[in-house]
Amino acid sequence: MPAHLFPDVESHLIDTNLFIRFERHETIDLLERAVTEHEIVLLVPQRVYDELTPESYPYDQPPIDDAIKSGWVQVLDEVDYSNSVVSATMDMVRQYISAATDRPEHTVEQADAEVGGAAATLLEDGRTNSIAIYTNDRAAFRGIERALSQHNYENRVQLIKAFDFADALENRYQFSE
Amino acid sequence: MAESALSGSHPLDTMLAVSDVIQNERLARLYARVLELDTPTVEELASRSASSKTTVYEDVKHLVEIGVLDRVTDSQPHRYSARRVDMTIQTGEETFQITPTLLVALAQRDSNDNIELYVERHGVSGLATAIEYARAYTKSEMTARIMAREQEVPVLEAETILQELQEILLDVEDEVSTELDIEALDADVDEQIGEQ
Repeated sequence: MPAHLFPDVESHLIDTNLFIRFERHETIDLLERAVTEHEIVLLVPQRVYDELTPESYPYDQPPIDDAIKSGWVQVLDEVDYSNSVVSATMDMVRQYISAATDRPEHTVEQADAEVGGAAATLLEDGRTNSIAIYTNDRAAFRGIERALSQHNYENRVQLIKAFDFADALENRYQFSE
Repeated sequence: MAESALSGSHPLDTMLAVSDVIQNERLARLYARVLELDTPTVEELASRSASSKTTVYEDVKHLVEIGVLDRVTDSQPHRYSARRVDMTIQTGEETFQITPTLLVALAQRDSNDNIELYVERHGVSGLATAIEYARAYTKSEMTARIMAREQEVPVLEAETILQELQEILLDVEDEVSTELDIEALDADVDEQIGEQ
């Protein structure tokens, strides 16, 4: 287990798959404890929020609204599509998703790349200098990393593999009070 | 049409045998437990089952008869192993894979709400399709967003079932790799961009 659960970065951006991983294991409370203990706020792109709260869905929804109310999760503003670095990043991410999944690029929607768009927007707005991206989508992350390094943001993003992170966090917090 | 059956049996016999297991959750659970315990005895299976030893014995006998389990010992107490079901069913344009993962997933319906709900909404065939997506997802070759669009389900539902099935896949199918070849992916993207 790494000594530090959370990397030393300014911003923590999470993808849909991370939140669902904790929800499935009924360990959202452990995630909350770890995040608040470390005085971190998890940033959620608008699209991720929408995915976690579908309109017509017959099952329980993950408690993202509670997390927002409690202040340890924050929904980001819309991605700035008009910014060229943002749009270039999203295009690159779409290329990576298309290549990895062997689907024609036009079937990969712009919004599929929104985590990348959100990361680029945060950097371009000057809101942050370093971002950890918590996701299971390795191809998309590679696209983000590559696009940003082509736009003078080398080594500003790092991948936190969602499932490994969740396992490590659960191990650490499961039986501690 | 069914092909690539249990070794040595006629595809049709295999299909009938497997459909028996698919339709009977108790048999599916038994199959899953044999897989998990490797080569258990009836005694060992019964100790982990809510069914009586007689029922477990009868069920094991049935599964051996239809060729889903093998008896691997010559003397008492007998031990049993699960055959690796691998079947492709083609109907019109659709192809379904019947794999040990499907049987184990079905066996978990009782204890796993997400799998139960998915089968309720999309049937066993929907679950079989989701397993194919999950196999690709495990190799980083699929995302919940693409599955959601192609299968017309919410992303939340797609991501949830993909994760549930990935856990089973990694457990049941030893040969599944989770490594992503970044260099090969970079090369693919370069080629793609070059073509535009």
